[in-house]
Amino acid sequence: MSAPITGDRGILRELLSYKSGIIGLIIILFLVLVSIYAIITIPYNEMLELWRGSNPVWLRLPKNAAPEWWEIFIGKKLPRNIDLLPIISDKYTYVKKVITDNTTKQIIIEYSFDFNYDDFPKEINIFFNATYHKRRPRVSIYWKKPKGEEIHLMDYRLRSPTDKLYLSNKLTLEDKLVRYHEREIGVKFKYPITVEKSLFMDFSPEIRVLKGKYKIRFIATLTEPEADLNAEVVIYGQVYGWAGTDHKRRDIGIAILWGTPIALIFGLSAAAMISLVQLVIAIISGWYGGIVDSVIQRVTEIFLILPFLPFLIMVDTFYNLNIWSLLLVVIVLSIFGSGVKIQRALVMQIKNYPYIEAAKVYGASGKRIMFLYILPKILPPIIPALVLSVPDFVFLEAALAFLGLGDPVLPTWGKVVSEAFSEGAVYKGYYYWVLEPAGMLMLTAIAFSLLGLALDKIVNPKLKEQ
Amino acid sequence: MSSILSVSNLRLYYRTKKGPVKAVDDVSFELRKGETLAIVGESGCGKTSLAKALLRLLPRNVHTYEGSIVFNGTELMKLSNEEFRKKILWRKISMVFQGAQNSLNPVLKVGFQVAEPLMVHYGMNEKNAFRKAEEAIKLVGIDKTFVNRYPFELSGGMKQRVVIAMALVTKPEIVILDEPTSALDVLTQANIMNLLKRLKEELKLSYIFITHDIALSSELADRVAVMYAGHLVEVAYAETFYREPLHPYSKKLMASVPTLRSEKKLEYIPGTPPSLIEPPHGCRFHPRCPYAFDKCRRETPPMFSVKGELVRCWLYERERQ
Repeated sequence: MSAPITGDRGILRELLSYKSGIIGLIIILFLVLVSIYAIITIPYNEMLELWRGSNPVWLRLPKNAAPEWWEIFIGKKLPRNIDLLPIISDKYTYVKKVITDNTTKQIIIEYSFDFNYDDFPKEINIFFNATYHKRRPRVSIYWKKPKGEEIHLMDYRLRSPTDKLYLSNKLTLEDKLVRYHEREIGVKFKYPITVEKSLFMDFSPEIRVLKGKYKIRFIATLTEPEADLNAEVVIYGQVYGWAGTDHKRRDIGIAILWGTPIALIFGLSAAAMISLVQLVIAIISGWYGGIVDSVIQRVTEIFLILPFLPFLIMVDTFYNLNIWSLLLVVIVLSIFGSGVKIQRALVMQIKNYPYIEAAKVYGASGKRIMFLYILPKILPPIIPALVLSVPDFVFLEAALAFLGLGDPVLPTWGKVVSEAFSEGAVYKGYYYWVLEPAGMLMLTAIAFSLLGLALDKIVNPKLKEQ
Repeated sequence: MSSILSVSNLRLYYRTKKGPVKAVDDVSFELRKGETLAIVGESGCGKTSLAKALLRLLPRNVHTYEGSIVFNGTELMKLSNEEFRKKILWRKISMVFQGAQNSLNPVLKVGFQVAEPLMVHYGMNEKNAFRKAEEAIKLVGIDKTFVNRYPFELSGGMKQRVVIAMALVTKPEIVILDEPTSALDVLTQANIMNLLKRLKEELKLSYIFITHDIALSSELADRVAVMYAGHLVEVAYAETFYREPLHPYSKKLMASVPTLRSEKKLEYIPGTPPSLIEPPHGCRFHPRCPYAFDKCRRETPPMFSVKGELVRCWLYERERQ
C-alpha cells in the first residue's frame, strides 16, 4: 500500500495516473501555447488591423483559398501565392531597365518565375506604383510562356499613381487570349476560358497546366523626366497558409489563433466566476438561514425560470455588447443558478457537523466558519464541475457569435463559423472554413471534459476505477 | 476550598411543537477550585444541555434560559453575549467535545486547529498562535512534528489529545469534558484519563466531567452529580458515592455497572426514561422506582442534605440534617 498523497502535488500526480487526465492536460497545454503564440506574434492592435482592416491589407491574399494541407485530399500540387515584387529574390528574377531619351523615358520591367503546380492559379493582379506629375504613363504588358512566343497582352494607361490592373477581369483580354490560342492550336474551344487559364495552359486541345519558366514584361513609356514606375504582380494561389482565407481574403489563421485566448479566457473566467460566486451565495444562504435564505432561494428560483438565451439576446440587442460586457452579463445571469440550490443543501448538512459546532463553541465568527470551515469542505466537488462547465461557455460564446451577437471587433471561432455559414461555405465546398473553427471548439470541449472527468474521479472516490 | 463556579436554579428549556423540553430543570451545584465534578446519567437526561447552558451555547429554539451561574464572584447570566464570548468563553471555561473524531476541521492542519481559539479570542497572529499551539500539543503528549498533519492522519486517541490541547491552549480555569472518551477503546481511554489527571494537577484545573459511564467517572471524580430527566438527583463525594449511593436511581445505576471476574447479575432499570416535555408529576423517577410511595407521586422532592450530601428523594425526608 502506498502512503496517501496529499496537497496539490498529490492531485497532479493522481491526475496524471488517468489517461483522460493526461490527454486533457496535453490539449489544454497546447491551447495555452497557441494562445501565447498568438498574443506574442500578432499583437492585439495588429490583429485588429489584420482582421478588421481596410481592403489593402487583404488585397494580396487569394479569395477563399484552401489551406496548403488541403492538397493532400486533392492529390495534386495546388498553386501557392506568387508575389512578384521589385526586389531581388531567389524565387524569381527581377530586372528593371531605364532608357532615357530626350523627351521620353522608357522603363522595362521583367519578372521571370517558375510555375510548377498542377493547377491554375486563381487570379492575377498587377499593382502599379508610379510617380508622375500630369502625363500618365503608358504600359505595354507582354507574357511569355515556357515554350511559346511572347504574347502582347494589352496596352494600358495608368489611371492613378497606384493603379491596380485586375487582369482576370478584362473581358477583352480574355477574348484576345482565347482567339490567340485557338489560332495556335487550331481547335475551337467550346466554352470560355478564363484569363489565368489561358496564360498558364499548354498549347493543346485539352486544357492543362504548362509547367516551366514564365516571363512577364512591362514596357512603360513616360514623358516626364522625373517620372518613375514600378509594377508588382500577384498570382493568387488556390491554397494559402496553414488555415486558408475567407471570402474577404482574410487569413482565417488569425481568427483561429486569436480565437484561442479569447475562448479560453471567456470560458474559464465565466466558469470560475460563476462557480465561485454561486458557492459564496450558497454558503451565505445555508449558513444564515431564515429570511436571508428565503430571499436568496426565491431569487434563485426566479433566475432559474428566466429563459437564459432569449434574455441574453435581448440584452445584447439593446446594448450591443463587446465580449467583456457579454461575459459580465452571462455571469450576472448565471450566479443565481442551480448550483446555489445544490451547494446550499451541502452547507445545510455540513453546518451541523460536530467540528462546526466546536468552532462555534470556541468563538469562531460566522465569516471565519463560512470561509475556513465550510468552504474548503464543499470546494472539492465544485472543481470538476467548474472544469466541465468551461466548454459550455466557450460554446455559448460561439453560439452567440453565430447568431450575430458576438463581439463586434474580435475574431472568434464562432464568428468564423457564422461567416462560413452565411457565405455557404459547405455548399461551395470550402469545408476547411467550417472545420477549422469547429475543430478548435471541439478540441477545447474535449480537453476540458477529459480533465473534468479525471478530476471528478479524484474528488469523488466512489467513481474511482478499480 | 473555595468555590470557583456556583450554579443555582439553572433552567434550559427548548421550544418544540409539542411544548417546552425541560432539558435542564432547576439544577444547582458548586464546583470548587481544583475539583472534578462528574455528572453522570443516562443518555438524554440533559447532561450535554447542562454543559451547553454553562457555556451559553444555546440553539435557536430556546424557550427558557434562567438561573444563576457565578464564576469567581461574577454573575455570568448578567453578562451580554459579547462580553461572555470575549471574557469567559474559552478563556476561563473551555470544553472538550463529545466525539473528538468529528470535532476537528478536516481541512486544517492540527497545529492551526489548536491555534484557532488563540487567533479567535486573543487576535494573536498566526505565527505566535502556532508556537503556543505547539506547546499545548507537547503538553498533551503528542510529538511536535504532528502539528503539520491533517486530522485524518491521526489516530482516535491522538485526535482526542488534540481536542484537549485545543481546550487548554487559552489556559482556562474550568474545563468541561463532555464524554471525552466515548468513542475510544479501553486502553486509549485509560491513557486519556491518565493524561487528564496529570493535566489537572499540573495546571490546577477544575473539571466538569460529563459521562454516562459511572465506572469511568470514578477514575477522575472528586464529587459526583447524578442527573435524571433534567434534575440533579444526587450530589455526593466520590468516596461515599461509589460505596453507598443514596438515591434509588443512583443505586440502580451502580448495580448496572459490570464488574470483572465476579459473577454479578447485571440489573437494569425497568421502564423507559421519562419524556422531558411532560415529565412525571411528583418525583420524576417514581414510575421506575421500586420504593415509590404516595408522596412521590404527588410532590416533587427538594434537595435534602443528608450526611453532607444532597439527594432529591422523599425517602430521606426524615434523615435530613
